[in-house]
Amino acid sequence: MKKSLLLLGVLASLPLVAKGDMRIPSSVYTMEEIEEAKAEALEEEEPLIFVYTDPGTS
Amino acid sequence: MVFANSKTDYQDLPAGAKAAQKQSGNTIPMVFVTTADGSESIRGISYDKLKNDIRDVDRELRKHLETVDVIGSSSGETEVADAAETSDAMLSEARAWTNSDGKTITAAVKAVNDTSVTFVINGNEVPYPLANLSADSRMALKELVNQ
Repeated sequence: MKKSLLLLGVLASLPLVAKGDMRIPSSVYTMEEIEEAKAEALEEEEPLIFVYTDPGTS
Repeated sequence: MVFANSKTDYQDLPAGAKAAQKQSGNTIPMVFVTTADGSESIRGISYDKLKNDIRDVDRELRKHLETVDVIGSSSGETEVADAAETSDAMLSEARAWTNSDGKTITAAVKAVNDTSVTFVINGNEVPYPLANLSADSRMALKELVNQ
């Protein structure tokens, strides 16, 4: 269930990223925070999900 | 979820994300799913797939995640590692630690140096910058080292 919620959250956020909108939700880690993201994923036993894009792309 | 800038972050992606990128075509945005430790690719999702039917992607990925080990390469050693988390090899048994944003994780502590702490979470060693921990957690680590 957690996995599903996580995934839906990721997919729901894609339009924001794709439009070049830089309002990244606080629950989203940046690459500078990758170790924190790993720690949380390991604790929650969840996969890591990366959204990979150019924030300047409109 | 981790946001990675395609112009600046590629080199810093963990191995699993780089492997997933190879499955995801050349068009951004794309999504990489890796094990929790980032070491192995679970799935790369291309822009075309996202664009065509995001519900199909969601459905298929959820089904796939039920069949794979999402923890990572060392999860096969979890039983041994879990035992180790409570042994004398650890500086601390599993307990709650708080980062500077107020998020809490539960982890054993294996080692501490001047800049980072090595947490053990579900059998996986995770280096973590001391600077990202709350003042209280940094103080608790300092006391742990001085014991």
